[in-house]
Amino acid sequence: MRSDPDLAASAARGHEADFAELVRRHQARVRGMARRLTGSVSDGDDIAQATFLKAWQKIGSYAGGTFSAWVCTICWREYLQARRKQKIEIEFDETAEIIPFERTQSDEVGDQMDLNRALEKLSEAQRVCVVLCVASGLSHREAAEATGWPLGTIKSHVTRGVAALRKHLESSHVA
Amino acid sequence: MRDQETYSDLTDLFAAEDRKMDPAPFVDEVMTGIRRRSLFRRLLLGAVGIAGAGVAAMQLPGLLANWTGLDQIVTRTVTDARQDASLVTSADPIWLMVGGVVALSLLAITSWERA
Repeated sequence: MRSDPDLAASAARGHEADFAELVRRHQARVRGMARRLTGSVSDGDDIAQATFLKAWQKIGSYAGGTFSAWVCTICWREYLQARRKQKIEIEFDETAEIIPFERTQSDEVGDQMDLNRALEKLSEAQRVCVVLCVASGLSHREAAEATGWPLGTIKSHVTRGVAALRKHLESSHVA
Repeated sequence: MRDQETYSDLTDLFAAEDRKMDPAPFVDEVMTGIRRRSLFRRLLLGAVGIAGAGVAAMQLPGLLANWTGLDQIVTRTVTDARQDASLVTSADPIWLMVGGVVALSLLAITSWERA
């Protein structure tokens, strides 16, 4: 099986089929990340699609390393851009309440899933850090680079977020 | 790394959920978007190229007439067409500005867009 950097190099030379293979490999992670950040299937998939279109435009700038981290960084930026369009400011505040992303009742991802429901109970900053590091598999350093937040802050939000997530999951199982 | 091992069970749960998504329609949608953009870019480049070739062709008769004595009828027809075009723009100079803005926009798009 060809490696991601190999496919990316080929895609940078204009081979669409190789880029399609990269999309196939990483779509689940990116769509999952975008859906969890937005809390919506359709908004999440729109952001994931915009992410891969941007990735195609910028594939020449991919300089090796983990392709999933590179594409997740693009996804994070697309998410921020989409939020700015909705004129919702993202505030880096531990105590911040979850800011809805124009969620509709019928379009909620996590209604039937304990995991996503528990995720939505976290504070904004914790949710972002858990989505990036726990759900999308980015390392703390990669998440810090993607968001521009300090590494120590990412670590502490992940630790607290994971603890809170487990607590919510346990309470939902007990109930 | 040690920190990440403490939540690998949760990572597995999220990954299992992500694997349930059907990749085919999404991949098709992304690739269709890419092909559509690529086609648009090609058409735009073609149109700009043809327009450029047209402008260049309009300059040719004047240039060639001095050198080769090109058939005067052809020369005159093209020269008249060029004069007509410049008459339209001088009658309403806003068209010159619009044309300039359009040309600059096309140049910007074609330079920034990837193949």
